[in-house]
Amino acid sequence: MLQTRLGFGALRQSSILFAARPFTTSSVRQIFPPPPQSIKGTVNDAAVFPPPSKLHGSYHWNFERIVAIAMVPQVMMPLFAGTSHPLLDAALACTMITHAHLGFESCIIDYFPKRRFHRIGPLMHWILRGFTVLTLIGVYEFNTNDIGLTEGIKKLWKA
Amino acid sequence: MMLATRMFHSLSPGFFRPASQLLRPSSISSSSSLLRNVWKRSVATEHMTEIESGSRLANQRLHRPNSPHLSIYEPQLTWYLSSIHRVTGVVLAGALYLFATGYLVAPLAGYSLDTETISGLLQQVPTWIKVPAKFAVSYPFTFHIYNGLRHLVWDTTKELTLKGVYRTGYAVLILSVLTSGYLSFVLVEYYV
Repeated sequence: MLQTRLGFGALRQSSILFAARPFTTSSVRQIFPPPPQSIKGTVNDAAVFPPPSKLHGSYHWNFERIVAIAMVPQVMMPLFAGTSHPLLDAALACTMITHAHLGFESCIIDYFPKRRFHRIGPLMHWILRGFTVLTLIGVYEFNTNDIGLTEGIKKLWKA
Repeated sequence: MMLATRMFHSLSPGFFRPASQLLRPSSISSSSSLLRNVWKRSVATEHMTEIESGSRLANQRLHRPNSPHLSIYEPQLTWYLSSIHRVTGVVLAGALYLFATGYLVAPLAGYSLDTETISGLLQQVPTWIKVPAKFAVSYPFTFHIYNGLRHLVWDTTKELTLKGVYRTGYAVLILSVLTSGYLSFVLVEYYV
């Protein structure tokens, strides 16, 4: 029967290596310093709810899953069956870049929330949009001038 | 002699409040039976505007420490695989973005990132470097694909128990190693 809990925590605490580690309360070892702070309003203002928007909600989640499901045949076919076609390259490029963009957006929302990062958060979103546009153009150029995504990966893999 | 020591500021006048500042209950003439043992204290307050208090709060927040989270949580398959899924996703998408923008930008610097040039460069790399490197490159790819399928399985409300999560997690790990091994160790010869 496979053990379902790895249980490394107890091992850590009982190890001699960690027994000598001092317990400190005042050492500041932050990886990331706190962001620039700006207080909006007072403590007596009511909580602000985000306005309802069709772009942020279950439609967005559905779109993410539809793109992910669409990627499954497009990736499995070249990878396991070796098929390759320019139209498949074009479709794979579109879905892959869309999937990457949605994933990066989730990362930015998680690590640079608008609530804490008033200017840097939206700025990162715009930088991502710029990079996505550049990537779309670059992949289009690659598919047009060069041999295409699937053929290119096959050729470089067996180079 | 005044060395650079901090003197306890209780020696400064005014640290200990005189007892007269504490009003005993008996001194209050109109005390009811309920308020018999309540002492009143005079408190010194400082007037601050909202902007001043906000800036003081912002200054305090800049010096506050963060609680540890990733470093103290018990290592578990659940969040380890979730972290690896996100890290591999960022790495793969970042590689795609960097390659595509590099393909656009490289001619401006005189280089060219087309497959002819890159395959010419790769042919000079010895096989004993290329095969492990291919495993290292293909493993994030296969892991992300299989873990993505695991997420889609969860979205159909299947395997959402603890046993199911661990079962699918081990399946993802095993399948990704096998597939990546096949891609890097078996697909070696160039088939025309």
